[in-house]
Amino acid sequence: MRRRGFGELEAVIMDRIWNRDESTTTVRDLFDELAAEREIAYTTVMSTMDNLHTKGWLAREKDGKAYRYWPTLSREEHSARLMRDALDAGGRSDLVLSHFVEQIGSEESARLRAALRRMTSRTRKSGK
Amino acid sequence: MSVAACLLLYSLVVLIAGPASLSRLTDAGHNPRLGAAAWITAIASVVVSWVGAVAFAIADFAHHWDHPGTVLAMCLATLRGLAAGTAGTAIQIGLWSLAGLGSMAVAVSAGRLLRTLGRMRSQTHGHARAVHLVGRRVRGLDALVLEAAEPAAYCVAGRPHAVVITTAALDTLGEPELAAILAHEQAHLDGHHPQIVAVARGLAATFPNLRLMTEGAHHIARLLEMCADDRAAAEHGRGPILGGLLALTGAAPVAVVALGAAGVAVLARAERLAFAPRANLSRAAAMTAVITITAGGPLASALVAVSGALCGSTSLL
Repeated sequence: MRRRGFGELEAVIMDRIWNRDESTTTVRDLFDELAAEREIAYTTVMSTMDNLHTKGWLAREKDGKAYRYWPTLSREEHSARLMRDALDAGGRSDLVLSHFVEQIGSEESARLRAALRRMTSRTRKSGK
Repeated sequence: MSVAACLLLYSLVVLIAGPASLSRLTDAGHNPRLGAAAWITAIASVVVSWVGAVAFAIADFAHHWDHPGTVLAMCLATLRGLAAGTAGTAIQIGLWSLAGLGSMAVAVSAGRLLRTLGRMRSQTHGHARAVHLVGRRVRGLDALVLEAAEPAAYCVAGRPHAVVITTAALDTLGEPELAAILAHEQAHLDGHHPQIVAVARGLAATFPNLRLMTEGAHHIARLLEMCADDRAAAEHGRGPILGGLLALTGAAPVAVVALGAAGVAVLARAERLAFAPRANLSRAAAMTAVITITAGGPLASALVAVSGALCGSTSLL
């Protein structure tokens, strides 16, 4: 999936921070890592991390002259929260998603699966 | 004033006759594109005729306002008329008050609709942004992967848009099914379906008592699913998309109270894919007719009013 501009750098930085073994990160740490692979300015990394802090993705604490950053939630916690939102997004919510299959109850889904299976086997037989 | 009245009359006819006849025409999903277009045009024509009615009413009022003293004179005439028992001008003033109330109703509804759409947009775009940060990119897969026990696939509009698939769905799906599902979601994004559904849903929330809006939102969403199915089936065959439906239908227990409509909708989609209904020409013709009539409806009713006004010698507006 393609991403652009600051959004892309935000994703790259969060990815790195989540994948790190150390519990906290400075702008310098991350800049050194990124600069080894791509052309990037120190201030760009700094302002992006500052943005992520403002948006609530990173927490920080002053350590001498610099800040030490860490993620407020783990990637898994974020995933769980997004999934909850996505699955709750029925026809009446403000979150507009196009689910491939709407979530349905278990009893109903059993009936539905039985019907679908009958149909699939019939299509196969007719050579489609 | 007669143009405004004709437009309102037209919208009333569509509001009353529309939902049942459109449901009947589009229920089977023979031609989902045309079906969705029929609902959208009908809804749009009602909105346009409301806005047009208000515009004509305001123009009418401004027209009289331009001649200073006219309004005052009319008020005086009304008083005199009431005293004398003739109510012609009173009716005119009454109509103006009605038009004023109508305009206010339209303005208030427009405000409410815009607020709802704004809320939807910020929620939806926020979700897309978060998905871009949290989702993992997998080489060769044109989607973001979320770690989750629930098998699910969906798309969300944003900047940029995102197609999301969960790890559980990846585990369940074979390669052809996965490709078909991703094509289905991409078809939604290419066709601007999320935006269309959002506006339809916003209108339904703004006018919860109008069946054309509430049923329209439901039918439009359902028909657009079928459109996306057709696009995916054209690229990958009907088998994989049907297989995908089967794999993702309640494959994991989700704590949701049974939602009848969703299950019925999936079954209807599956039936179309399995039995490939032949193109139904008479239905297609009927839907095209509905689209033509509703697309031209507001203009036609305005013209009828104008020509009527010209024939009779009443005021043009």
